[in-house]
Parts: sequence; C-alpha cells; structure tokens
Amino acid sequence: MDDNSIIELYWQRDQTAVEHTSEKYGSYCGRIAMNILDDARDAEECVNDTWLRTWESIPPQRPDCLRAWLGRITRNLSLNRFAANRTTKRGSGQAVLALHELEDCVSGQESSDDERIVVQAIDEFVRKLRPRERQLFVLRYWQLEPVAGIAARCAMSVSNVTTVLYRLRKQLRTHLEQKGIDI
Amino acid sequence: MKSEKLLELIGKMDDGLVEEALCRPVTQRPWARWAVVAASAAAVVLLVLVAGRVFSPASPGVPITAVSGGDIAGISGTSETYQSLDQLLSHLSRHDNHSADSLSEGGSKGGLSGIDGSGCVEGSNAVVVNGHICHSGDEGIVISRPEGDGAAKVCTLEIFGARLFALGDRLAAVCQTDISSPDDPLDYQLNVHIYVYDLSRPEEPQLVMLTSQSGSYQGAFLSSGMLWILSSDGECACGYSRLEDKSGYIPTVTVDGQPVPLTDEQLHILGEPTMVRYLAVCGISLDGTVLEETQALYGDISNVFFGDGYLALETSTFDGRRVSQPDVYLFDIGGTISYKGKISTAAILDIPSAVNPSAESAQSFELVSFSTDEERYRMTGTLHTHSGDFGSTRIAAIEISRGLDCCSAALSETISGAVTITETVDEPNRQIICYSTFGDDFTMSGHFAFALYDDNLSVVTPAGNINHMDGIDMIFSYGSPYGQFSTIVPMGEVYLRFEGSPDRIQAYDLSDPLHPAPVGGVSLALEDIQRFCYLSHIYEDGRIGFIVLTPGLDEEGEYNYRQRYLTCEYVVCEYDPDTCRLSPISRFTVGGYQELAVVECGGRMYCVTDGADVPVLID
Repeated sequence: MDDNSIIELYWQRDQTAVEHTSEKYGSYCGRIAMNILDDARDAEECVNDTWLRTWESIPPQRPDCLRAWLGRITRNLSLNRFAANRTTKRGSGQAVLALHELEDCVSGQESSDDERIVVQAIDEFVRKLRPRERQLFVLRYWQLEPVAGIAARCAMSVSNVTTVLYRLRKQLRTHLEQKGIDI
Repeated sequence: MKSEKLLELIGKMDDGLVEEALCRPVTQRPWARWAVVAASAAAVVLLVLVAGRVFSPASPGVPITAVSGGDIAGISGTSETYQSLDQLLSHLSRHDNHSADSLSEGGSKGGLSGIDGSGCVEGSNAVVVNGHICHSGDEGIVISRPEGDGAAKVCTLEIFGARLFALGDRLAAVCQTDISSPDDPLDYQLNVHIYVYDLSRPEEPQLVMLTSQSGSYQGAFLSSGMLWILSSDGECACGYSRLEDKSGYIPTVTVDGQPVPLTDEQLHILGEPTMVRYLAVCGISLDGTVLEETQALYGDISNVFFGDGYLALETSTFDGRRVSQPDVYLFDIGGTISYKGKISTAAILDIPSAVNPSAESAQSFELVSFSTDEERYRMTGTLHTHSGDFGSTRIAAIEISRGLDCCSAALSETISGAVTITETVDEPNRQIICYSTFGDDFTMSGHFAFALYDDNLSVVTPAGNINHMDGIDMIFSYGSPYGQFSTIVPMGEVYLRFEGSPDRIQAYDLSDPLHPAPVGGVSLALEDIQRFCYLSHIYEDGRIGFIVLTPGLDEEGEYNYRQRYLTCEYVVCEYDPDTCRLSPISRFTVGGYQELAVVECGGRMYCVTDGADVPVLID
C-alpha cells in the first residue's frame, strides 16, 4: 500500500493503518532500533512505541515522507533508551561508535545554541554534499548503520567508507564553526 | 557541544533530505560537460601549474571509436577476424608463432591480476560458516567451533591446498589437482576442482556438488552469490603438433563426474590470438548448487581483472618483434556472462597500436590496474618512452563511462628512469598511486602520485616529491614477509606505509594531493631489535593487527632469521592520529606465519596458521 493511502487510514482513525505501517516499515524501523540498541527486546519495544506515537500524531500531522518520519521517531526513542541503558551500564550497538566518531566535530563542552539554528546548519551542510557522500552520512549518523554494512550496500571497501566519513566529520566541524555555532 | 547532542540534532534533519539519501539513485555524470571542459582546458592548465605539476587530460573528448560497445554475447562481438574456433585453428595451423609462448607463460606480464574492485570476495584459507571456523592447512580443511578460550576441532575434510569461500551454510573449496596419464606420469592434465559442502550440520559436512574444469588455476571470486572460477590451458596448433581432435582445445567441465560439453556458442575468440590458449570461466550458484554459466575465452590474455559484476581481460600480442598495446575486453557478469565491449588503450592514448619496445622513442603502455566506481571504469598504468638505458615514463589514468560511450585520459609529468607502479588505492574521487623509480644512479626510490577524478581528470605528481624509500633495503607487502612493495593504509587523513622494521613506519597526510606531507615517524614501541613486521588485519574500529617475526639466538649466540629460530606473534595495535603513534595493546604468540589468516567468529577474533591444529583465540 502506498504511503498516502496509509496516512489516509490514520486520518480516518482506521486501526488497520498500524498493521499496514508495521508490514511495510517494521523491518526498517527494527533495523534502526537494533543498530542503536543491539538488543532485540529493547528494539521491539521501541518499534512498538513508534506505532503508538504515530497513531497519536496522525492526525493532525501529515508527513511528506512517511519512511523518514517513522525512522526519526524510532531513532529518537531508541536513543533515549540507549541513554537510559548507558546509565545502568547496559547495551552496546553502533550508537557508541557513532558518538565516538562525532567527537571529531565537537568540543565536548555544553553549549547554548538554539537547536533550530544547528539543525538548519546541518541541513545546509548535508544538502551541499555530493549524493554519494550524503548517502554515507545519512546511513552512518542518521540511520546508524555499521560501517561494514554501509560498505556492502554502497559497493565500497570498509577503508574507503571510513576515509570518507572521517573527511565529512572534519568538514561538518568546519561548517558549524563558520556558521558561528558554539561547538 | 557534546556528541550526544549532535547525534540527537542530526536526527532532526529535514525528512526530504533523509529520504532522498536513503533511496538515492545512481547519478550519471552529465557527459555533455566534457565539451565545456575541453574548451577551458588551457585555463585549467595555467591555473594548476601554479600549484604543482599537473597535466590536463591528454586527449579530452576521445573519439568514440576508441571504445566499441557491444550487446551481443558471442563470437561475432569479440573478434573481427575469427568467427569460430575452427577458423582460429585453421589459421594457426599455418601461422603458429612459437615465440609468443613466453608471453603466455608469464613472460612480460602473464598471470592473473585480481583487483577487488567493489563487493567482490576472493578466496581465503580461513572462513566462517554456520558459526564454525573452516581453515585450509596441512591437515586438509579443518572445521572447528569456538569453545571456551579457544576452539575445538569438529571434523576434517581431506582436501588440500584449497581456497575457501563461504555463503550461508555453504562452504566451497577450490583447489588445483593434476591427473596423470596411467601410461606416462609426465603426461598430466591440470584441473581445478570445486567442492561445495552443506554445513547445516558442521559435524557431518554434506558434499552437495563437485565440479571440475580443466586448466591451471588462475583465480576465483564470489560475487552476488555466484562463485566464479578461472582456469587456463592451451595446446599448440601448428602444423607439426596440432591435435587431431578439436575437443583437445576445448576445456573439459564436469559436474558430479558427468561431462558438460561446451557448444560453439560458449567459445569466444578475443581479437586475433597468436596461439590457442583458453581462459575457462565457470559460474556456480552456491545457493542453488548449480553450474549456471560456462564460457571459454580464447586470446593472448596477459592479465585478468575482476570485480563485482565485471570481468576485464587484457590482451597483448607479441609476434616475435613487436608487442601490441593492451586491449581490454570487458564483460558483465551476473548470473551469466555478457560481452560489453573492447577498450583500445592505443586509441585512447593516441599511440601506435603495436611497437618494437627496443626501438628509439618507441612508446609502450603497460596496464597496471583496472577498477570501477559507480560512474566509470578506471585504468591506471605507465606510458614508457624508450630512450637510452631507462627511458622516461609518464603515469596514465584513463576513465571510461559505464556505458562505454565516452572516455578520457590524463598523463603525469615525465618521470626519468624505470618506473614501476607498486600499488594503487582506490577512493571515490581519486586514486593514490605508489610507484618506485630506478635511475641512473642504480638506487630505488618511492613516490606518490594521484589520479583525480573530478570535473577534469588529471594526474598529479606532487611538487617536491616525498621520497618514501630513503635508503631502505627491504620492505614488505600486505600478508607476506617477502616482497618488494609497500602497503599504505588510509587512517582518516593519514596514510601509513608499512615497511620492514618498526621504526620505518611512516605516516603521511595525503588530504592535499599537491602537498603530501610526512606527519612524523610511527613506532610499534617494541624492543630495539630488528624485527620483520607486516600488516595482517584492519579492524572496523581502527585497530590494526600485525604479524611480527622476531629472530632468536642460534647455537652461536647470533640472531638468526631462519624459521626454526623465529618467534611469530600477532600484535594488535591502536593508532592515535593526534600523536601519530601506533601502540601495541595485545600480543599473541602463534605457531607460524605461513598462510596466516585472522577471522571473526561470534564476535571474537581467531588466528589460524600452518603451525596450529585449531584456531587460536586472540581477541
């Protein structure tokens, strides 16, 4: 079923909307959750919470890109769960590695920038990238795919992917600094 | 800002950007731009010459006749002279050129050059199948399962000298065998055997398929579930020794002992061969355990390049006096093989198609690497001009569109002396080219060059070349302690060049191709003793595994490098980019360094060598 039809079911408060969403995007959201949490039970809970949040949000929302919208919810829920697990010394997953990598881009100190400005700057940075670089950036730091999986998907070697991501992090840092963002 | 915050904010990116990136189609280069680039080439040359020694494309907008596309699989697409094997045999029976035998047996080039271009798996002596480690050694193929702090042997397959491939629960073992004639032990036929086992129950491996193909093993690779095996053989076809039966010139293929005859449609002649020598290409689906494809390619094949979805065969002919410039016959391989077209390097580089390499000012091109990215095929090599003892050389980079409808070439500045490209490292928009030169002073030195694949293909030899082989007598290659080539490994922006002893590891910042810079020496911080070390494994998290060979004291109290005195260790190191320091973090003694492999199984790292019965847990 196409995305517009699924969204329409939500607007009509037809509960089959959740079934169709789960059927079409269950694996996708599950993958994001597993990438972050590396625990099947936690991941399943986050995916189920995603369906609940979606049911509560549509209407009034009408997402333009349903997949990205759902992925973002799962991602946020999973990162919250990840943060909670870290305080109790549980869990692993790609989030640990991604956080370590992103330390290249920031100072590690608290900052007070308006989040909207930072997100705008990130959007601008990603928009300027070449398509392949954009894909690698999104797969690694939005979807938190493992580097080896990205390499296989994009038909590149692991070392090539690592190199490109390293350069992108350096470029992101420079871009944020040029935008006057307190990193 | 903390990294957690940045990670959170990345999640708030515009959904449209995310969606576009996740389902990104392949973006084709707008080839119409080449016309604009050619028109402004003069301005480009002037600008970049200020920064370094760069040359604009040697021949922008090369005529399309240099590349001939073909969508016909079969004899008619690959040779304009011969339409069948019979025609080739008939011609060679009267014109056989025995002086060409030296080329076919690995004279000037010879042998296989397998390039792991993208997503293509080459065989190993150790793989993991169904949670079990399978490694090929002196005992045959030993299947072990991880147990406690080590591994326990489960069973052994009496197959020796095999290259292993894994796909799902399937294990494929490829090995060379020879079958002697009962009447004459010196009359033997080389064959390649492929054993496919089902390891659903590793303690009872089930042989599900056994194929064989005649010829000497040239290589094998796994691509998209298909295992491709290459073998080569040939028989003289001259009037004196020509075989009576044509079948003697056709590879024999069997599946589970049953012959699989090749039809004429499966035989292809490449160009105008000077001898009858085939390259047999067989494709086995490991999922379905089916021999899906068999082809025999006849030509003066000097090099074979393969990658995910393609096979590129370099041909070069020697008629006793002149050598032809390389042609590359390109095939798409998926479930089947289909001929794509011929690439003529002579036409692309605008040089004579054949040359007497000893003649003054003769120009000859040597193809060194063939690879692809999503937009183009890349070829790299050296264009040598004969003069005096060593002549001069220019490094050449060639790019051809995936549709084989446009190509371009760029040459470096002229380099004096004999030039050998020792290694190429492919990156999305550039290629790092390591080369060595041997000059009039009889010393060897090493350098970097870069092929830059942006709007204007160019080859850069940096101003003030870094000589990265200062006075070094021996250097080592990846996976072997005996070699003459360096290995560079990208670690972010810094590339490490691994050489013989710990204090010779050099780090280079190659972020700016025009100004590569050494960033400091890197030491393994081992004791001050002359060790041999070579790169073994690169971990996803940036750690690096080395094999370190330490000499022991012999009976006379002298350090001795013979095998019985050597201690072999597997040393895992951490690289700190801020201090450019490579620090050992763990060391494991292993039995030997021959056929050493590192595999990951169940989240742990194991090392297999010829000196150990079972894998050793190292991490």
